[in-house]
Amino acid sequence: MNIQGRLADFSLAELLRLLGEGQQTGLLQLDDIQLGFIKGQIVGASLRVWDWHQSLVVQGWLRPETLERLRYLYCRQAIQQPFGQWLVTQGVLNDQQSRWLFTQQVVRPICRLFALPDASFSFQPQKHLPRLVLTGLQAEPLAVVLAGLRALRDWRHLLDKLPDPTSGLISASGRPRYHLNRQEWQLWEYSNGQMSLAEIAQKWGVPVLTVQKLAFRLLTVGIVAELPHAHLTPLAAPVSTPNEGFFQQLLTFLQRNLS
Amino acid sequence: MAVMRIVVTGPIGSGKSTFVRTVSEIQPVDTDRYATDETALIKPKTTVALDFGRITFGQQMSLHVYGTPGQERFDFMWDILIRYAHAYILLIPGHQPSAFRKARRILTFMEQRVKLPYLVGVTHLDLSEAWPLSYVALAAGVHPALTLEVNATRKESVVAALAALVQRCYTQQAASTV
Repeated sequence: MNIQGRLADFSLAELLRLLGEGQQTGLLQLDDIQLGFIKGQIVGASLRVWDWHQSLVVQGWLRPETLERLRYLYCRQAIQQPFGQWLVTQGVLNDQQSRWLFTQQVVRPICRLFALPDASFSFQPQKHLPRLVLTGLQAEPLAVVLAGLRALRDWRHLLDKLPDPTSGLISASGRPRYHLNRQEWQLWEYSNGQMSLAEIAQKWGVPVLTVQKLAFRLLTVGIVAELPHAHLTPLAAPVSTPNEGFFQQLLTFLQRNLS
Repeated sequence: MAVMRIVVTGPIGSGKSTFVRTVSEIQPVDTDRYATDETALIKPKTTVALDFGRITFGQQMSLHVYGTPGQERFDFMWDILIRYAHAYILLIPGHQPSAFRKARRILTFMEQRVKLPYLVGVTHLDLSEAWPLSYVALAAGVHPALTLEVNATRKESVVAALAALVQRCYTQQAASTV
């Protein structure tokens, strides 16, 4: 069974978090775009405008006929390494060029996908992108999410997914392992459930939407969790708890109803 | 009269009212009203306060099952119902990805508010667009060991979920008294 849906219901940020945290391997199809995952890491993208092989030529690193020859050799010898990694081991590319290609041709285009208001998606486990389009490098989905959401200008399609202004935040993972910017750090310091997003916005003198967007970023990368109704303190346990005999009789009764 | 109170919570359309109705030995008390907002796209009626059902067993012993409203504008009822509960079940509609983040919110609220045994039931898994159980658990931030499939329209499925939750309560209580 696959997962499927629309970005209007389940955002790209949530989707990348799901696949990253679940350490999934497979292909994420977004309309006609494919993103490859191995053990929760993004390893490649097949975007409509994407052709990093062509970039090798445009950058002046390879002549077109050399590229053709290398591709031919790679395919004929049925090499198991990703094409980009093979080019590095052959001395055709250096590590820096390989990283540049991955950033330009995979990470940045994915970051632009966060602006998509809607698209259908499906995830097919255990399917892979062809090795010919892989560089051998990988990106952590949550780091891409953070970068993509920071760069996003038009948030209209995410408005219904933002945390509620009456909600507070609670820390979900101890100290963040991502490099947060100043505003994100400031908000993270309020992740004790004691102030609502609206109150934080008021204190900072900024629109509540600004704080909601910041909170969505921290929520989606799993640093904090949204706590509906800030201020509430934990309740005491119920005064009377059923005793052992009660549980035993109830279990016997339910199990009898099951058979 | 010894009573155990279980709260059934979850987003709109997860099957809470159906769950209560399926298992109750009495005509359930419901507070369903015709939906006048976007809920009407999912179902014609919605719970605005609570559902109540009861199972009596043995002498002077009963299980009370309370369903919360699914709409977030009635979320103050979560707090009213959970404060007298002994355990709760969170239902998540497996065919509605938009409900997964709402389920996560509810669970965070419950976990912060009370320290009670709970289970997560994923419903509507028979529909073609439903996500597999493991992905629903992941999307809602729930440990897979606490997750089970529930068909709220089938008595044996609802009773199995209740039995699993009661067993969990029993085990936790036994562990705490050792």
